[in-house]
Amino acid sequence: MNILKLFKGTAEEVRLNPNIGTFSWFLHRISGVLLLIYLFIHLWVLGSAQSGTAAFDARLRMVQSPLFHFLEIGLVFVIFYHMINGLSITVMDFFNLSARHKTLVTVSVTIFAVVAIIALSIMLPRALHIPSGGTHAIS
Amino acid sequence: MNQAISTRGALFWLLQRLTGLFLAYFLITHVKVLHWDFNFTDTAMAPTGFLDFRFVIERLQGSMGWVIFYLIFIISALYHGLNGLWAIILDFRPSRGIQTAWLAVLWGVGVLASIWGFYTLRSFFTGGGAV
Repeated sequence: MNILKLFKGTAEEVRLNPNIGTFSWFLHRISGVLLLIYLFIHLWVLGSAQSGTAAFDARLRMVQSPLFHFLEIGLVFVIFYHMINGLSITVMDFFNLSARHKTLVTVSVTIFAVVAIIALSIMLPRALHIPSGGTHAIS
Repeated sequence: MNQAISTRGALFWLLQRLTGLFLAYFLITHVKVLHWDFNFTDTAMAPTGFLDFRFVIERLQGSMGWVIFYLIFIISALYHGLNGLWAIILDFRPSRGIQTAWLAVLWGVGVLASIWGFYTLRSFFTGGGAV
Protein backbone atom coordinates (compact mmCIF):
# COMPACT_ATOMS: atom_id res chain seq x y z
CA MET A 1 0.00 0.00 0.00
CA ASN A 2 2.30 2.74 -1.17
CA ILE A 3 1.55 6.23 -2.43
CA LEU A 4 2.34 5.39 -6.06
CA LYS A 5 -0.14 2.48 -5.95
CA LEU A 6 -2.71 4.87 -4.46
CA PHE A 7 -2.32 7.37 -7.31
CA LYS A 8 -2.34 4.61 -9.94
CA GLY A 9 -5.47 3.05 -8.45
CA THR A 10 -7.27 6.39 -8.35
CA ALA A 11 -6.26 7.22 -11.92
CA GLU A 12 -7.49 3.79 -13.02
CA GLU A 13 -10.82 4.36 -11.25
CA VAL A 14 -11.27 7.69 -13.03
CA ARG A 15 -10.34 6.11 -16.39
CA LEU A 16 -12.85 3.26 -15.95
CA ASN A 17 -15.65 5.46 -14.60
CA PRO A 18 -15.17 8.96 -15.98
CA ASN A 19 -18.24 10.55 -14.40
CA ILE A 20 -19.30 12.82 -11.57
CA GLY A 21 -19.94 9.84 -9.28
CA THR A 22 -16.23 9.00 -9.22
CA PHE A 23 -15.46 12.60 -8.34
CA SER A 24 -17.97 12.44 -5.46
CA TRP A 25 -16.56 9.07 -4.28
CA PHE A 26 -13.02 10.46 -4.29
CA LEU A 27 -13.97 13.62 -2.38
CA HIS A 28 -15.93 11.56 0.14
CA ARG A 29 -12.84 9.48 0.90
CA ILE A 30 -10.49 12.45 1.15
CA SER A 31 -12.92 14.39 3.36
CA GLY A 32 -13.52 11.28 5.48
CA VAL A 33 -9.81 10.74 6.12
CA LEU A 34 -9.38 14.45 6.96
CA LEU A 35 -12.28 14.26 9.43
CA LEU A 36 -10.82 11.16 11.11
CA ILE A 37 -7.52 13.03 11.57
CA TYR A 38 -9.46 16.02 12.90
CA LEU A 39 -11.39 13.78 15.32
CA PHE A 40 -8.14 12.65 16.96
CA ILE A 41 -6.80 16.22 17.14
CA HIS A 42 -10.12 17.30 18.70
CA LEU A 43 -9.96 14.49 21.28
CA TRP A 44 -6.37 15.46 22.09
CA VAL A 45 -7.22 19.16 22.54
CA LEU A 46 -10.26 18.46 24.72
CA GLY A 47 -8.44 15.70 26.62
CA SER A 48 -6.41 18.42 28.34
CA ALA A 49 -9.49 18.82 30.56
CA GLN A 50 -8.20 15.73 32.35
CA SER A 51 -5.21 17.81 33.51
CA GLY A 52 -7.37 20.58 34.95
CA THR A 53 -8.92 23.93 34.10
CA ALA A 54 -5.67 25.82 33.43
CA ALA A 55 -4.32 23.20 31.04
CA PHE A 56 -7.63 23.09 29.17
CA ASP A 57 -7.91 26.87 28.86
CA ALA A 58 -4.31 27.17 27.65
CA ARG A 59 -4.75 24.55 24.96
CA LEU A 60 -8.16 25.89 23.92
CA ARG A 61 -6.70 29.41 23.70
CA MET A 62 -4.04 28.06 21.36
CA VAL A 63 -6.65 26.85 18.86
CA GLN A 64 -8.60 30.14 18.90
CA SER A 65 -6.05 32.12 16.91
CA PRO A 66 -6.88 33.67 13.50
CA LEU A 67 -4.96 30.82 11.81
CA PHE A 68 -7.16 28.20 13.47
CA HIS A 69 -10.32 30.19 12.73
CA PHE A 70 -9.39 30.05 9.04
CA LEU A 71 -8.68 26.33 9.33
CA GLU A 72 -12.10 25.94 10.99
CA ILE A 73 -13.75 27.40 7.90
CA GLY A 74 -12.07 24.63 5.92
CA LEU A 75 -13.18 22.12 8.56
CA VAL A 76 -16.81 23.24 8.28
CA PHE A 77 -16.63 22.94 4.47
CA VAL A 78 -15.23 19.42 4.75
CA ILE A 79 -17.86 18.44 7.34
CA PHE A 80 -20.75 19.78 5.28
CA TYR A 81 -19.48 18.15 2.11
CA HIS A 82 -19.09 14.80 3.84
CA MET A 83 -22.44 15.13 5.65
CA ILE A 84 -24.49 16.12 2.59
CA ASN A 85 -22.80 13.63 0.28
CA GLY A 86 -23.12 10.93 2.96
CA LEU A 87 -26.85 11.64 3.37
CA SER A 88 -27.19 11.47 -0.39
CA ILE A 89 -25.45 8.05 -0.44
CA THR A 90 -27.77 6.85 2.35
CA VAL A 91 -30.85 8.02 0.44
CA MET A 92 -29.52 6.28 -2.68
CA ASP A 93 -28.93 3.02 -0.77
CA PHE A 94 -32.20 2.95 1.16
CA PHE A 95 -34.48 4.11 -1.64
CA ASN A 96 -32.88 2.16 -4.48
CA LEU A 97 -31.79 5.25 -6.41
CA SER A 98 -28.43 4.04 -7.75
CA ALA A 99 -29.56 4.74 -11.31
CA ARG A 100 -30.01 8.39 -10.36
CA HIS A 101 -26.72 8.84 -8.52
CA LYS A 102 -25.56 11.60 -10.85
CA THR A 103 -28.68 13.65 -10.15
CA LEU A 104 -28.12 13.11 -6.41
CA VAL A 105 -24.55 14.40 -6.73
CA THR A 106 -25.80 17.54 -8.46
CA VAL A 107 -28.42 18.10 -5.73
CA SER A 108 -25.78 17.50 -2.99
CA VAL A 109 -23.27 19.89 -4.52
CA THR A 110 -25.96 22.58 -4.90
CA ILE A 111 -27.01 22.24 -1.24
CA PHE A 112 -23.34 22.22 -0.25
CA ALA A 113 -22.67 25.46 -2.17
CA VAL A 114 -25.56 27.24 -0.40
CA VAL A 115 -24.53 25.99 3.05
CA ALA A 116 -20.87 26.84 2.39
CA ILE A 117 -21.70 30.44 1.47
CA ILE A 118 -23.81 30.84 4.64
CA ALA A 119 -21.05 29.30 6.79
CA LEU A 120 -18.45 31.56 5.20
CA SER A 121 -20.53 34.68 5.83
CA ILE A 122 -20.82 33.75 9.51
CA MET A 123 -17.28 32.52 10.13
CA LEU A 124 -15.14 34.85 8.04
CA PRO A 125 -15.76 37.95 10.20
CA ARG A 126 -14.66 35.97 13.27
CA ALA A 127 -11.53 34.74 11.53
CA LEU A 128 -10.74 38.33 10.54
CA HIS A 129 -11.51 39.54 14.09
CA ILE A 130 -14.49 41.66 13.12
CA PRO A 131 -16.94 41.14 16.01
CA SER A 132 -19.62 43.31 14.38
CA GLY A 133 -19.79 40.81 11.56
CA GLY A 134 -21.87 38.55 13.73
CA THR A 135 -21.89 37.48 17.34
CA HIS A 136 -22.89 33.90 16.68
CA ALA A 137 -19.39 33.01 15.67
CA ILE A 138 -18.24 29.46 15.53
CA SER A 139 -15.30 29.69 17.86
CA MET B 1 -14.10 -11.34 -4.13
CA ASN B 2 -12.74 -10.35 -0.81
CA GLN B 3 -14.04 -12.66 1.89
CA ALA B 4 -14.38 -9.91 4.49
CA ILE B 5 -16.58 -7.87 2.19
CA SER B 6 -18.79 -10.76 1.09
CA THR B 7 -19.52 -12.26 4.50
CA ARG B 8 -19.46 -9.48 7.09
CA GLY B 9 -19.91 -6.41 4.93
CA ALA B 10 -23.68 -6.01 5.27
CA LEU B 11 -23.69 -5.35 9.01
CA PHE B 12 -20.76 -2.93 8.72
CA TRP B 13 -22.49 -1.21 5.80
CA LEU B 14 -25.73 -0.78 7.77
CA LEU B 15 -23.92 0.45 10.90
CA GLN B 16 -21.97 2.92 8.75
CA ARG B 17 -25.26 4.36 7.42
CA LEU B 18 -26.88 4.45 10.88
CA THR B 19 -23.88 6.03 12.65
CA GLY B 20 -23.69 8.52 9.77
CA LEU B 21 -27.30 9.57 10.39
CA PHE B 22 -26.66 9.76 14.15
CA LEU B 23 -23.55 11.86 13.55
CA ALA B 24 -25.42 14.40 11.42
CA TYR B 25 -27.85 14.91 14.32
CA PHE B 26 -25.21 14.82 17.08
CA LEU B 27 -22.89 17.18 15.25
CA ILE B 28 -25.55 19.82 14.61
CA THR B 29 -26.66 19.63 18.26
CA HIS B 30 -23.06 19.79 19.49
CA VAL B 31 -22.19 22.82 17.34
CA LYS B 32 -25.41 24.56 18.44
CA VAL B 33 -24.80 24.03 22.18
CA LEU B 34 -21.05 24.57 22.45
CA HIS B 35 -20.24 26.85 19.50
CA TRP B 36 -23.25 28.64 18.00
CA ASP B 37 -24.55 29.58 21.47
CA PHE B 38 -21.13 30.93 22.42
CA ASN B 39 -21.15 34.70 21.98
CA PHE B 40 -17.59 36.00 22.28
CA THR B 41 -18.74 39.64 22.49
CA ASP B 42 -20.87 38.92 25.57
CA THR B 43 -18.64 39.92 28.49
CA ALA B 44 -20.69 37.93 31.00
CA MET B 45 -20.51 34.79 28.91
CA ALA B 46 -16.94 35.27 27.72
CA PRO B 47 -14.96 37.59 30.03
CA THR B 48 -11.73 36.79 28.18
CA GLY B 49 -13.32 36.71 24.72
CA PHE B 50 -12.33 33.06 24.40
CA LEU B 51 -14.27 29.87 24.76
CA ASP B 52 -13.00 28.27 27.97
CA PHE B 53 -13.51 25.51 30.55
CA ARG B 54 -16.03 27.58 32.49
CA PHE B 55 -18.31 27.91 29.45
CA VAL B 56 -18.17 24.17 28.76
CA ILE B 57 -18.94 23.02 32.31
CA GLU B 58 -21.82 25.49 32.63
CA ARG B 59 -23.51 23.17 30.16
CA LEU B 60 -22.01 19.78 30.96
CA GLN B 61 -21.26 19.72 34.71
CA GLY B 62 -23.46 17.23 36.56
CA SER B 63 -25.52 16.47 33.46
CA MET B 64 -25.73 12.71 32.94
CA GLY B 65 -27.85 13.35 29.84
CA TRP B 66 -25.03 15.23 28.11
CA VAL B 67 -22.46 12.64 29.23
CA ILE B 68 -24.51 9.87 27.61
CA PHE B 69 -25.10 12.04 24.52
CA TYR B 70 -21.37 12.70 24.11
CA LEU B 71 -20.36 9.13 24.90
CA ILE B 72 -22.62 7.83 22.11
CA PHE B 73 -21.35 10.67 19.89
CA ILE B 74 -17.68 9.79 20.47
CA ILE B 75 -18.21 6.05 19.95
CA SER B 76 -20.32 6.64 16.80
CA ALA B 77 -17.73 9.04 15.37
CA LEU B 78 -14.85 6.63 16.09
CA TYR B 79 -16.77 3.69 14.64
CA HIS B 80 -17.77 5.65 11.54
CA GLY B 81 -14.27 7.02 10.95
CA LEU B 82 -12.36 3.81 11.64
CA ASN B 83 -14.84 1.68 9.67
CA GLY B 84 -14.50 4.14 6.79
CA LEU B 85 -10.74 3.68 6.97
CA TRP B 86 -11.28 -0.10 7.04
CA ALA B 87 -13.29 0.16 3.80
CA ILE B 88 -10.42 2.07 2.20
CA ILE B 89 -7.92 -0.54 3.44
CA LEU B 90 -10.05 -3.36 1.95
CA ASP B 91 -10.00 -1.62 -1.44
CA PHE B 92 -6.26 -2.32 -1.55
CA ARG B 93 -7.08 -6.04 -1.27
CA PRO B 94 -4.56 -6.83 1.48
CA SER B 95 -3.78 -10.43 2.41
CA ARG B 96 -5.72 -12.10 5.23
CA GLY B 97 -2.80 -11.59 7.62
CA ILE B 98 -2.54 -7.88 6.87
CA GLN B 99 -6.32 -7.54 7.29
CA THR B 100 -6.15 -9.11 10.74
CA ALA B 101 -3.29 -6.81 11.73
CA TRP B 102 -5.21 -3.74 10.56
CA LEU B 103 -8.36 -4.87 12.38
CA ALA B 104 -6.36 -5.24 15.61
CA VAL B 105 -4.89 -1.74 15.17
CA LEU B 106 -8.27 -0.14 14.34
CA TRP B 107 -10.02 -1.83 17.27
CA GLY B 108 -7.15 -0.92 19.62
CA VAL B 109 -7.20 2.73 18.54
CA GLY B 110 -11.01 2.85 18.77
CA VAL B 111 -11.17 1.38 22.25
CA LEU B 112 -8.30 3.53 23.61
CA ALA B 113 -9.75 6.72 22.11
CA SER B 114 -13.18 5.85 23.59
CA ILE B 115 -11.63 5.45 27.04
CA TRP B 116 -9.75 8.74 26.57
CA GLY B 117 -13.04 10.41 25.62
CA PHE B 118 -14.77 8.91 28.63
CA TYR B 119 -12.14 10.37 31.02
CA THR B 120 -12.38 13.75 29.28
CA LEU B 121 -16.16 13.70 29.70
CA ARG B 122 -15.73 12.77 33.36
CA SER B 123 -13.65 15.93 33.85
CA PHE B 124 -16.46 18.03 32.39
CA PHE B 125 -19.09 16.14 34.41
CA THR B 126 -17.27 16.72 37.70
CA GLY B 127 -16.36 20.30 36.79
CA GLY B 128 -12.63 19.55 36.87
CA GLY B 129 -12.57 18.27 40.44
CA ALA B 130 -11.74 14.75 41.55
CA VAL B 131 -14.61 12.27 41.50
